Amino acid sequence: MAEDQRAGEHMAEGASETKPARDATQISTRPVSLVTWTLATFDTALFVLLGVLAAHTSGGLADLLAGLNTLVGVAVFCYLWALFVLAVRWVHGRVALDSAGVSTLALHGAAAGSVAGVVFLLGLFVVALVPTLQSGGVRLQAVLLVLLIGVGVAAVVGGVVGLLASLLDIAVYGLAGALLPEAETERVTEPRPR
Amino acid sequence: MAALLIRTLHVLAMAALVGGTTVLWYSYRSGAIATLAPARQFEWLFWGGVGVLVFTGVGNLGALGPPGPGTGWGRTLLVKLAVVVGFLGGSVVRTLLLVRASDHENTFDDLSPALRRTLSRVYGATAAVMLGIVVLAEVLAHG
Repeated sequence: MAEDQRAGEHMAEGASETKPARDATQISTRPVSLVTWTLATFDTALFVLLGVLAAHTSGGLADLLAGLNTLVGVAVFCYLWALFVLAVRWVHGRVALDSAGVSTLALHGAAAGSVAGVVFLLGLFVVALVPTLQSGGVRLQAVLLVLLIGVGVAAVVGGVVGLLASLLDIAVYGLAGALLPEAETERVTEPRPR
Repeated sequence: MAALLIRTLHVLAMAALVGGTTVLWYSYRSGAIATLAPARQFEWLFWGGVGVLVFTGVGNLGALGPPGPGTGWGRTLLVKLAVVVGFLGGSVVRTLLLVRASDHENTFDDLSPALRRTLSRVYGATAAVMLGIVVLAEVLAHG
């Protein structure tokens, strides 16, 4: 993406930068670009909201939320959000959203989603089951079997979510480009002197 | 105590987003802002705020114990969730439009009138939809 490419160009500029240029450098050298932050948050919010919408229409939302402690829910959401940001960042670091083919982006999205799904499950496992294992409440073999199946399911579900999210991201990125006013393809005003 | 904190965060995040969006709409409309930089900075806050709104919103639902979709309250919640999903779709297009405009134009240069008009419209539409969501939230909270 041009935004990511500009980050490198700004870093190459020397100490002779003016204040606006330095501000632009600070913006573009953030560890996460605005596109990554936007799309990752959009994907996370949509994923959670569609889940809530599905649970509500089926009449099971109250039961689902009743068993969830508020702070635990916040922690799980933040963990999921962070994984989405890392996954989208990984994809955008390897594939340009504006020039790569749909299949390339979708494959990268599916791969990142698979890994994120497994990491999500393992994170929950560490928090929820390790204390129980240490106290001897559950047999290790049973947990390992469940974990093995869970990892497979999480990889598939994560891959599907990643694939759909990357297709959606490509669609909204293309739509944004189509809505851009014609004049923006050419510079209308003279740039300010630096 | 946690439920009160979550509710307060939810209200504060919504207030920040409605306020920021309205200021940007008016500023681009009146010409008080003529560059992309303030909008780009705001978009970082906007999407952080969206994340906060989602998890605090779900937290609020958990604290309330929502009735089924067949009740009046349940139907209003269904409408609100659908509007929020549509709002997110519109917002992501708005932010990416801004980013793609930055690809063509320096963030600190004066904007073309066409782009200023477009930004004014998209921020105006965002503010209007958010006000609609606030009304739906009031219906859910107070009937």
